[in-house]
Amino acid sequence: MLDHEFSSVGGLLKTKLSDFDPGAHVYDYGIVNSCSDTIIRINGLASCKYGELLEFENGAVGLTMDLYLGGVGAALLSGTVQTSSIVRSTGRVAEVPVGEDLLGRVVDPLGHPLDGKGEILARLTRPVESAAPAIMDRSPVNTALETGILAIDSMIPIGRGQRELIIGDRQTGKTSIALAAINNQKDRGVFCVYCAIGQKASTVSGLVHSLQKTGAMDNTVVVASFSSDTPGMQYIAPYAACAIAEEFMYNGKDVLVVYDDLSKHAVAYRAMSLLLRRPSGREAYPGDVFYLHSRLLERAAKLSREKGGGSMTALPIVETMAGDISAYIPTNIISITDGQIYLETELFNAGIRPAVNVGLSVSRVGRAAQSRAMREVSASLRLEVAQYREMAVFAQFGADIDASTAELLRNGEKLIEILKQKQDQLFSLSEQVALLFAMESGVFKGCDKSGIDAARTALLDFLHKNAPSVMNGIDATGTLTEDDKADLLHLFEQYEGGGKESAESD
Amino acid sequence: MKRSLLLVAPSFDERSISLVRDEFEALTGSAPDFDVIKDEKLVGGFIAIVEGKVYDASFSSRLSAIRRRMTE
Repeated sequence: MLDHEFSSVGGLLKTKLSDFDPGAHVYDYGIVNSCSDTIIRINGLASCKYGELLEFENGAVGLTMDLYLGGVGAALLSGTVQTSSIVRSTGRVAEVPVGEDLLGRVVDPLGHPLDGKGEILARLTRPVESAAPAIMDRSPVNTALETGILAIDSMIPIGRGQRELIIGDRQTGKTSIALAAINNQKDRGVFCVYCAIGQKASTVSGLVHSLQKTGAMDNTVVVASFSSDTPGMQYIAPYAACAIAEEFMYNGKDVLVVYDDLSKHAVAYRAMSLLLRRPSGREAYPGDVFYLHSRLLERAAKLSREKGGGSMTALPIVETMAGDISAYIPTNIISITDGQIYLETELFNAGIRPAVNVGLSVSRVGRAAQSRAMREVSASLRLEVAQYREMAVFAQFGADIDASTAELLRNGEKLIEILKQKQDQLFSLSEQVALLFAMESGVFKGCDKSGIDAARTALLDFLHKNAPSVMNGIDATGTLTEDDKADLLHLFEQYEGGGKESAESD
Repeated sequence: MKRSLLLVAPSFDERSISLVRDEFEALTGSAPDFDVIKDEKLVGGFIAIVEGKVYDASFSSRLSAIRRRMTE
């Protein structure tokens, strides 16, 4: 057995080296003409290609961004360079290690470890830039990617392979939603890639610790470029994260990738473009800033069964200034993605968390990406919330309201309370369905607004204790049968008739 | 771009350097005026930088290429 293994290894090495040419290599070289603000102008390198990696004398690495007669312009990725130093084109585009060896690791956009856990053992690499899957290689988005957040899974469902933008001002809970979505994929066979672009190292560290605490880090890769990194590193970070996610997708796996955030990415690209003296357009962004994000987000897809059936769901994050979603980058990304979750400062400050503005949020994939059970209980939810918000604004001015409007307001308030969720509180599909069905059946009618949270917890405890088979059945099949409904209604009656007190006292 | 450099391993003697110079004369038509630098990182062989091109015949580059090929 051992001999056989040795002969196999020897054979493998021989095959790998069979066509190796040990002769001298001849390649072009260039000389650094100038280096300012991480943008390098190089004379020579006549046959260098766009996007090629460059090696400098002292080990620094650059990325070709500009080609012109007599030289090239490059963005420095790491290290420092001096004028008159020699540059070599590597013939390779930027690559990143990929594969399951990266799970649980924190890496920079070139795949170097940042977590102090030693060398990355991944043997496979992928170019950071690659073409999006062709039309015929895709299949429709029709499977839900559950985030564990009731407001999102019921009203703005996200499907596997969808691109859903998370947009809002600073401190509105954008990253928390993305983190909740990552945490909810634990033990569901969905790999996650979180890409931090231009963030503080302390923020990324806190995030990694929180993922480790929940155990979600085991199926997550974190690609981090910090605010102290060069614009070049920040620029390639989301493409590197996408390449890592693509490897999983093309191997038939489901993967969720979070780009946090693309407004900082656009700013890094704008800095590079201005230093490369490219003509600037609206808000001083270069003309190809739309292409910058469209070519990244187009790589997210649900692949056809012939191509393995894998999927890549993208959750790009964009930060707005003073709620202005009509700025250049937000409108660009809104038009590229398949919907957006709009978070509002006013709602956040009013204690409504997640602070989702239902009116401005949308999922263009719609109910196709929802399980049957959820579809059944959440059909009119969006409309009810929107109606409540409209009426609540009207009622604020102390206007006289009729009985039906007062009832609508009371129900709306309770509905909003039901949809509130703490940061570390995730609901399974069965819990979400049961809560919405209970709301629809009037279980919470007797509760006042402040008692909804306790009643919700008590009801879920009661259901888990008394009807585990119904709950497990909904989770396993994603459907709510007539029998399930009857069972749930019966349980609701039991809960209201006495189970409520015992569940609350537990 | 007129700079011609010859990086050689410390084991390179004058005779070997003159052989390299002769080869380049035959290749380009004129004998390059090399600045010769001894660099132990090369392990063996040489790297010549002549008229915008690098001629890499160093052992270190070959070893790196073998390592890359074996691990890819």
